[in-house]
Amino acid sequence: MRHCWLKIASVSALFMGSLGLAGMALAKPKSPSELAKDPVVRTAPRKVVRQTQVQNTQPPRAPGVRVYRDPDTGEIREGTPEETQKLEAQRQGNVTPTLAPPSSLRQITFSDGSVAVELDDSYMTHLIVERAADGTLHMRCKAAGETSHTPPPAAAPATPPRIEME
Amino acid sequence: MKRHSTWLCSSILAVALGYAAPALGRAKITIININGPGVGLNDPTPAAPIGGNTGTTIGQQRLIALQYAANLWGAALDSSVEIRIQASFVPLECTNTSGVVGSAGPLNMLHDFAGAEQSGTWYPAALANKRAGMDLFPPNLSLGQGSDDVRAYFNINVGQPGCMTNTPWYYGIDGRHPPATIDLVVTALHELSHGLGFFTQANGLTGALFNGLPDAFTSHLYDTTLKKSWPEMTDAERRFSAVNARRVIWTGAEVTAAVPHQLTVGSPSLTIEGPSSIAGDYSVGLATFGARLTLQGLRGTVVAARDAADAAGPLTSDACSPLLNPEEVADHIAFVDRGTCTFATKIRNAQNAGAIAVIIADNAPGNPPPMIGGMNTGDLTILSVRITQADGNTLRAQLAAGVSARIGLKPDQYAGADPSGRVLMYTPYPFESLSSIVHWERVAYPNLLLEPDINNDLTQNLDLTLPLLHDIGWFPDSDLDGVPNASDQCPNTDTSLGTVVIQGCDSGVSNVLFKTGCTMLDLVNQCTSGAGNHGGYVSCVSNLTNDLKKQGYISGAQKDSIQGCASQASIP
Repeated sequence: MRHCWLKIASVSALFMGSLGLAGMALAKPKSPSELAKDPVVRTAPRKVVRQTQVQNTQPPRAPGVRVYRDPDTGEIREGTPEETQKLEAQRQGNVTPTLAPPSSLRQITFSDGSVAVELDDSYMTHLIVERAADGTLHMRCKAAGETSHTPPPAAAPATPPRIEME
Repeated sequence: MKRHSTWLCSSILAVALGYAAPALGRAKITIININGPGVGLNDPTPAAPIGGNTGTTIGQQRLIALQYAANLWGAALDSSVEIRIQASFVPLECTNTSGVVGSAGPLNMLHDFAGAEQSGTWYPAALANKRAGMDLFPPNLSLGQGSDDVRAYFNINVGQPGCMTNTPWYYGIDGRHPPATIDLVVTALHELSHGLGFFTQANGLTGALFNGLPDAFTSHLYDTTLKKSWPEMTDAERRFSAVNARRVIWTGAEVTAAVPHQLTVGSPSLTIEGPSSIAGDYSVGLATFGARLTLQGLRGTVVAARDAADAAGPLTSDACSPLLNPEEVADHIAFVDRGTCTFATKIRNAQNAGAIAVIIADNAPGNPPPMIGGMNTGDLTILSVRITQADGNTLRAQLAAGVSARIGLKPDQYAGADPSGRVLMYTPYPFESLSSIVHWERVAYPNLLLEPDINNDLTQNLDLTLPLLHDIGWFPDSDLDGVPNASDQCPNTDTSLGTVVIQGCDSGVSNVLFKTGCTMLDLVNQCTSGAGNHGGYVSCVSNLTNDLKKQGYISGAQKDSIQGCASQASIP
């Protein structure tokens, strides 16, 4: 059986307080009574009070992970021809970023004031394996379906990269 | 970073002798199999047990390997809330020479929940649950992702015709994958790390924070050029910082403390010693062949190599043809430009002219300088390094005046850390989506689990990734009471006891946990050790319960109940 947690005010404040005790453990021993200070509290299960959509700020890019999730069941399955065509069209469209409208994400506000957002696959990292000409394998974590983006930072050189041998 | 094998022995020894591994934690991490019947993690194809994996079907072996990786993380982290990894083997983008082998990320992020270390800061779901001490997404809320915390995909086609043909997964759990196989355990360890919090929602291309708020990860990023942390920056500054190569560091104390135990002393560098106008350290990319950098270093004068502008290479500085000035280059460091021919050709021409080393200046923007690769390089014995185009321009302008240089390992700097010993993050120019920022800099040595590259020499070591997770809020909590070990004055609390029970006598009083990390029963039990006889013990419990009543934590009846149990107990 788990603890019966007492219900008092802000858990976060108590938690921060407990963190503030770091380093005190090695101080002079305290009596049992001295250690009975401020019960830790776990709040009751929360309720959803509001659901909204927020903009997905990840940059549009080619969808490297061809995974299809049934919108009704949530099950991973093979894509239908229509879904495959749609995905490929998006992939082509993303060559020009302005053609790809940003998707939105569901944001949930709970009764305790906390806020959650459900992330989609655009926030996943992808581990890519590449076989070099000499047969060796190279594995790299990056966005699928692309090599790199070139943002315009303040100190960025103006010359575009050239493709060279090696 | 790939480095010469002579380093390997010393570094392993240093790790083995010098680093007392932190106490192992316990978190239940469960792989949730979402594959349908007969495929992926349910593939019924018979398979012979391999490398400690006792599964007898492909599906079983996949599941065992993933759960093994999850257990490694579970043994290192503390959480009283189950961590659920939604996993499946599915077709991912793949060709015969490249492919996505796996993907992962958190399913939800939260801010301002009970237990959040910092307000206005996003936390991944698994970490938020740990800090709150409860599942913040219980099934009864009927949210889309439910109680699952991390999503992970693995490529079902790896090794099949058309997808890295004949390069299959290795499902062994012994960390001894053969060449030309892909270790599923190491792959999963890396990807799960992202799902657990080695991750940011910030957009490095625009510099925008997600919904204007930092996350637990970016809160520990600091740019040594701008002298600002990421949350302090404007979007424009973050955009600059995201590509400010080798100038973004991790400020978390746990990672910094672990550096001497995880990284080797000796950061690769080209040090220009004169003229003074360009003196300083310059980043280098290392070659996969030839002589290696040493702590002693190699010193010499840098001399421009000259060759014919011909069909082999249009520039007189590309070293694609035999050098025309061997008398100048001999016994010095040759300076050549990248382009047209292979690195091996350039280095071979410089070596034939008597050069002791080669500096290759890049011909395109980019930072830090990548590695020098090549085939058929067995005859190349001299040292060679690569520098950025910008640094090449700086050096080239001074060559006529005479440039003296040292190429070697800086003995006062760890490989992968800045001069102050803080670990460098991967912030190359140009920006690499989902790779930049959320990995360690590739110069780190020995190779780390969360470098962007999964190197073949990786073991199942969680290296600097575990302290990073500690830094973002995965505090050690060995008794899982929600109070960090560092401040827990009762570090061995039994959190399964709901009431105060003394030698089988149940007082019926709730076993309240205090923020000192002690439960009421812990405090009662402390009376046992301090008492010389039964009377002393009963007196101690009496004093304690009187105080608890005085503070309003228990009623008079509850006080009497505890005291009654204490008096009946045969303690001591």
